[in-house]
Amino acid sequence: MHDGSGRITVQQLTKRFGPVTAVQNLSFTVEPGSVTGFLGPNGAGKTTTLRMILGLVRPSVGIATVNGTAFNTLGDPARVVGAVLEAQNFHPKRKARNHLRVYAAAIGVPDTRVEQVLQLVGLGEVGERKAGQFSMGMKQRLALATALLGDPQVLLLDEPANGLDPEGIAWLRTFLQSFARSGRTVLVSSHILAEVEQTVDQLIIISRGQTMYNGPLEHLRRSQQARVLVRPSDPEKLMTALRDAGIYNLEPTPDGRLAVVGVQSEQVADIALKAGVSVYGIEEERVNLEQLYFSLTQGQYTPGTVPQQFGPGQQPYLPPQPPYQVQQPYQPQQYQPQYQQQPYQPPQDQYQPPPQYQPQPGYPPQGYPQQNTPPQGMPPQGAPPQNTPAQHTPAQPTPPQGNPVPDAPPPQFSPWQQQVPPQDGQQPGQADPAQHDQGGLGGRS
Amino acid sequence: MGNAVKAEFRKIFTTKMWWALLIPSVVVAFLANLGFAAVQKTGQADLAQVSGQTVHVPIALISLGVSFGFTAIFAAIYGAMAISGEFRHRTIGTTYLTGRSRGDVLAAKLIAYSGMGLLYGVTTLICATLGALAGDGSDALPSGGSWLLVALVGIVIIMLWTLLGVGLGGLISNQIAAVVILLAWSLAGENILSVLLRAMNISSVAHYLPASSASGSLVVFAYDRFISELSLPPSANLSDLESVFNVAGLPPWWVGGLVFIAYAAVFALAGWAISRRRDIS
Repeated sequence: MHDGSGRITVQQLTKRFGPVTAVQNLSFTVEPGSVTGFLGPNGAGKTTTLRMILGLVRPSVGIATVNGTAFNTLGDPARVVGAVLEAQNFHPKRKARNHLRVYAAAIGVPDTRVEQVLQLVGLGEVGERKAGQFSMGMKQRLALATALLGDPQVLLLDEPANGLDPEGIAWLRTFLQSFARSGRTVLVSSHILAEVEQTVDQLIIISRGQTMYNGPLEHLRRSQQARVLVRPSDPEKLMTALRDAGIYNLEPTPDGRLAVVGVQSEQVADIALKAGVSVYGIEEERVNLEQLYFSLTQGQYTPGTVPQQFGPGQQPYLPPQPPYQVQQPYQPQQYQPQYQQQPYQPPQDQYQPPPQYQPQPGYPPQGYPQQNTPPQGMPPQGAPPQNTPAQHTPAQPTPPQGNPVPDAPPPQFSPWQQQVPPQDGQQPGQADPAQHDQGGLGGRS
Repeated sequence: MGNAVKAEFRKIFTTKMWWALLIPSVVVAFLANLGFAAVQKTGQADLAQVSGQTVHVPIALISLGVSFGFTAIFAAIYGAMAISGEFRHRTIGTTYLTGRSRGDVLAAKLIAYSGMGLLYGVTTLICATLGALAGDGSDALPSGGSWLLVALVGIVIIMLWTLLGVGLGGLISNQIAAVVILLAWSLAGENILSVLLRAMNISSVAHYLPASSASGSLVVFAYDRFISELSLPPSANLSDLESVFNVAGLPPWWVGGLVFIAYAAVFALAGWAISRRRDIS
């Protein structure tokens, strides 16, 4: 039987559907007492992984355990694990209350529990309505009610925010947090970081079936770096002065400003003052979490074009460096099998360089986001290439690659480092990974 | 296990399908016996006129047996939706997550749907009896013992058909495909195959096909009871009667019955085994 720990463990999990590898050598642990976000683009393998944890899908390799044992040997699984897999799993003609009564009987809880969970999720008034008449949000609530019937210790939710109205999302957030705070385990998947950003304490980010990040959200947040955008009277002079002061991570922006990474704006202003350079404008800019997330999951849908060299010292196979190795340091051997299995895979297929450095043959030339595209925004087709990024939205930085530049100054992860705009002013054909998720906002992975 | 069976019955009785499929079953059972009995009534009157005495010909026994063969298809279709319907409405995941194990859930389905087969069988018995009474009046009915014995065999055959359906639905998991295959096979496929087998001069094999073994067992059993009800002299030549009721060359009722039990068991077990392993994605 199970150990009652509330811990979910996934070890070297691989699932192949015919020629398609949905999940590859995935390992992580989910601890009780916190809400863990399980993030990745659509198709990253989230749903398959959750279904393997739940014993619905048989792993090709590896094991997934809940409370130290495989789901199928839990004995009374619904009293240990509740799962909200999709909001479509109801007989459309069965009344909501009857749906719950069916599964209450299966679990062996009294029918009074049905009324409790109906009230709990706010469906007390509509229990006599057929599930097929429910809105998406009501179906999500009914799915959650079903998961809660057995008063489980562990809750797994696959894209629960789909179809929920803002009020429902806020309610769910509060519910999950209090559920976790009572010492229980919550694993909630999403393909949109913003959806879970305010809910989760821990994050597991996967892309193409592999773990890209596993650790507290706070660590990821802290690894965000600010850059200072300064408009000096004499950029050359200021650059020299900054370099003299030991600040090397700087670059001119297309609009004639200077971007300085890893410093405070006061510091830059002081140096400028000492160097006798006038500062006409200065501002600090932060990359948001969403952009970090994109950078970690980028490449899932980018076509495998041969990248142009865009930085010296690239080591595409190097796993991400310390900022991402908070809880479970990356184990290099995790990456070995892939390389052995795909010896001819060009490196960019695994760690795609920023696509703006190359034409994107797979994409239509028009309609894809250009520079300055906010991560979630519409493709601004007419966006002037020389627009000053920082004056509008936070600039769309080049999402960093999964392979940090090893000789970059610490912390290695800086979204700014590689944003070297073309000097001829030509508009880069940037493909924003966010766009690939646009179509799937309501979809499932 | 009790919980799982209870859950299955709640599933069954909280949607309309169980009585929607019972309606055609009721109609078929009633009308088949009504018509048969009406024909028999005229025949018996003619016979009485010719022979000058009233002859008791309990032909309703045959029609009762035949009507179980007719209504079994509805029970089989209902059974075929037990597992495949859960795939169709995507409830199978929740069902597996709330059961003690997949094996438990699937066993519970077999038990619950045996119960539904029993319900369909008893309904057929009641409607067939009412039909026979309406068409013929009580005087032409056989003895209660023979009637109930034929009904018993018919009910068992219907339960087996239901289980075969459950297994087929578990094997295929696509509800529409399972139902279509079941219908196509029992209405056309098996007949076509029988014709082919006859053309190849191995027609006896056709008696052991699934639907033929089930209906053959029923008809032979009903015919045997019919003959014993007639209380003919031992020397009577029955070959004409055998060809009239289409039982000539059929194996004994218990042979057909055992063959059909084997079919039902193979389908149920195969569906159970496949469903236990199938990925739910």
